[in-house]
Amino acid sequence: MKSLNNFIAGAATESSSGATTEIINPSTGQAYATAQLSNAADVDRALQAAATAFEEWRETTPAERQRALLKIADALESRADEIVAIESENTGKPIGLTLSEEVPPMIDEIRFFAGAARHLEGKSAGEYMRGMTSFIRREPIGVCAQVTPWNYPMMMAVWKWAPAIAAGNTVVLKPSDTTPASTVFMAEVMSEFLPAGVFNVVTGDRDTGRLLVEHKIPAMVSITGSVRAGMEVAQSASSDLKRVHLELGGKAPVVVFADADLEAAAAAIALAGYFNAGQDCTAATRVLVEDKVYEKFVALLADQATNEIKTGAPGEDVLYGPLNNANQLARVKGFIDRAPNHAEIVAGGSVVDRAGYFFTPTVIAGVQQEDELAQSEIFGPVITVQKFSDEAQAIKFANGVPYGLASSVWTSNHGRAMRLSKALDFGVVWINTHIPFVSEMPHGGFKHSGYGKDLSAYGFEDYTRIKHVMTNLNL
Amino acid sequence: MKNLRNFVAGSATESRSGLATEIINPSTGIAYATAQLSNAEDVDVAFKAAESAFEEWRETTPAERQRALLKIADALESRVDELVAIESENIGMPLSQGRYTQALPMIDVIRFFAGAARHLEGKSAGEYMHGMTSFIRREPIGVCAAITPWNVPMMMATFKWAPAIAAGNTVVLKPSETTPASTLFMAEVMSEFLPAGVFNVVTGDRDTGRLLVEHKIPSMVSLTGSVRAGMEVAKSAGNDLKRVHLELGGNAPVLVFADANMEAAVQTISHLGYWNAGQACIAPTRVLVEAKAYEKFVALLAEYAQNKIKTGAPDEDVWYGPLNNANQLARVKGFFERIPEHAEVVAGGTSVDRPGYFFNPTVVAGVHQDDEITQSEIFGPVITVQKFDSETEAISLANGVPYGLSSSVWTTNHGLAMRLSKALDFGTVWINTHLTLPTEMPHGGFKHSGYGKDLSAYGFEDYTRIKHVMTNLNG
Repeated sequence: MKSLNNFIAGAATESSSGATTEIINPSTGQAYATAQLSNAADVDRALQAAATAFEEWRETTPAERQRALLKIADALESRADEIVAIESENTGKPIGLTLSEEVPPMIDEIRFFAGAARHLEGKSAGEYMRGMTSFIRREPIGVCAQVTPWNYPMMMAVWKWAPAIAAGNTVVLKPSDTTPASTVFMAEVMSEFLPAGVFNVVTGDRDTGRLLVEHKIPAMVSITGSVRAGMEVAQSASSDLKRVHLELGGKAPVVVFADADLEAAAAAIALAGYFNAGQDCTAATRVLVEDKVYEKFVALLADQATNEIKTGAPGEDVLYGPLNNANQLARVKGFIDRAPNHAEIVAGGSVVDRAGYFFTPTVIAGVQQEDELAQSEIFGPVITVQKFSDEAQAIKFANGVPYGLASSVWTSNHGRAMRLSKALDFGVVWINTHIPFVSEMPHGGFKHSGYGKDLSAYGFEDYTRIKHVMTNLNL
Repeated sequence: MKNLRNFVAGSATESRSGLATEIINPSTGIAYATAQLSNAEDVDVAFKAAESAFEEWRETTPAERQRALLKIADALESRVDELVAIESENIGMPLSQGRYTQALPMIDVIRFFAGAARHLEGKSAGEYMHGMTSFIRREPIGVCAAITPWNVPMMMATFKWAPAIAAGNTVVLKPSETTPASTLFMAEVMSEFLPAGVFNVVTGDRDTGRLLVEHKIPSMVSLTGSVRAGMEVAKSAGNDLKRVHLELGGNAPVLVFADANMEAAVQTISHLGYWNAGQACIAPTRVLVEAKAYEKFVALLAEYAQNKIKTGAPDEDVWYGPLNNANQLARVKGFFERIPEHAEVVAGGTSVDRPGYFFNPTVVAGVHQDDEITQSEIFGPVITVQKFDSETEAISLANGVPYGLSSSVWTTNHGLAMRLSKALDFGTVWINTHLTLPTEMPHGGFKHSGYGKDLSAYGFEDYTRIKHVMTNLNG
């Protein structure tokens, strides 16, 4: 069995705990590697390394940081097959789709932040008070502790480290306990282009994550994870006022009006809902349909799920692979087991009878607003369908969840599209599309989906601090 | 003899004129190549190529343009020896300076604008009027005509094409008639990564330049050149309201206060004043010294010019090469033929007795504010020194020229430094330094030095147009 090591201060190292966790291939359910179960001493060493490296890294010019990130992008691009194989073994993602849908955006994001390093926003210097000149410095924050989830391990790592390092910070990142493999690999590749200690990875479980957040060194903590984890991080960070950056769960409404192109919408929603087995905080899985086309749209979605969408192992020609782990499979199955009587499973709804954690593409119609299925993030290949009667009700249902991450509107009416882009309480509103990400635009939510943006100049700026310098002109 | 050809629509082409100009190596005074003397038809073909390429190039995403520019930067970097040799043969710059002050910073400029492509500034969309949503689109302008000077040809070409192409425009560029070689080489290298017609180069003289500016196709004209040329371009472009972007001459004041570190100031001012034989519009050649340090500073400058600064051919161990052409040598000599009696040449003042266009490092002390040598840009290895009594007089003398490109202040007093950074009427104020140009910061002047910025996000934005979209929410 492979042994995955931490990556601290430029070198792969074992945990001083002597303890490890098993890493399982979710396509088979078999353990294929072990990873370090890092303890307080490991976390401390990693954060110390990052603190030391910060003294050097903060002195680099934006141009130097751009060059480092561009070289990392080139190196990862040239090793795309390797990293996809590693990611796929660890998450069960289809190899071809991961190569075509995850790697190019991830590399592009690194290149985007490479350029962003050189665009430090600042207001004009000037005499805002007579006799005094003011100017703005935008500076790195320091050491950032980052915690990433298991649904897109390599891409979520990039979303965290790329803006942080581009802005001159140093990082200690903890990947999810089930999916450390690609992050550890990335750290190794990156180390050729970064001073030791700029990017450190410690693996471990929730307790390791807590140690990271509670440690005195990091000045900022960013996490992509569950609402529960986000609240825990916010509370813990509050005790010494670390900055907090939270990209948490979502429950994206997909609001389909009768005047939309229904066939195109059903096909696109099925892709955006089942991609990555629905394990995506922006997945298009909470469909709200205008009543006069409700029956038709349910049938179209059920047809997509039954006839167009396939699940299977990474080497097979399928849209999505297994759920990430046994707990997640149990969680998704639990929603189905507890489905209320008024809800109707019109496609799927069952575990696939094979090794690993596969679940069939599922459509549940007749869901009501207060149902657990409509209120909680399922994070599985399950699309729910609900009915609305007018625009006002659509907005009310759409916004009537604790989450505020992503949403979409499907309509051919321009005025309505524009009204909903204002009315929806979500960090992104897609119109007649769902899920495309561009590096230039922010990703991040409202309400219980957290605060702070990933991607974009806004995301970059989250990893900077603003200093006002005022100088007396007459002394 | 080499034959340098235009680069139009993706390939090297000869002029329809059948005419050529001789290209001279200024280190020897001997012609070593010919270049096309392009006529109206050549210019028209180039613009049509740029116009049709624009239809495709405007549709590219910022990410695609970033990739193209990054690949161009990599390709030029891998051919840096060739590039430097070509430039040096054409302008006589010492080879190591061609590499470290031109080629490598130029490649950084390309990488900067690659990233800038993805940072399109825009104000927030919103309801600035009830019931109406507004948003901003920042779009390319169209075909840009660019005209570049002979002092640092490849760098100036990059200052123009990189932001233009990064923003989605296409370009027809005319290099100076004496120095087309590096620009044509660059066009060839770039063509591997750009669709045909995105970047076109036509060579020729002033008349060719006029044809470029007068043509109906370009929506924007950018020029680095003389004040005379800038006014001519502005007038001509006024006819059909082309946008105009002018980086013209300078006559940089260098204000040395008695509390400055004199030795460091002399060393830096001499190196940068004589760099490229003073043929830089931001050269620190108009030195103003506080009266009580005047004698000492003149002596230090004269000594430095005589003992530390050498001129010679590119492969010799010298600080600067020849003037660019016979006309320029005659022009610099002319200042000395007309020099007033109160001025004292304390170093140099003569051309070098060898083939080529070499002029000795020169210091002229005792100049007055109204002297031609103070008021006009010399563009040669000539530092003038003037005396001032007070801060107020220093500011008045410094600002008392028609130019407004760059300036520097030398003092250890913080309040004074900050007051002068406000008081000086120049696009750049350097404090205890001069001529350092980070890519992130703008370069461009006030007054007769023109308008429009090179480098920086501001320069990039000059090559974009702003569209406001307002939509009725109830339509």
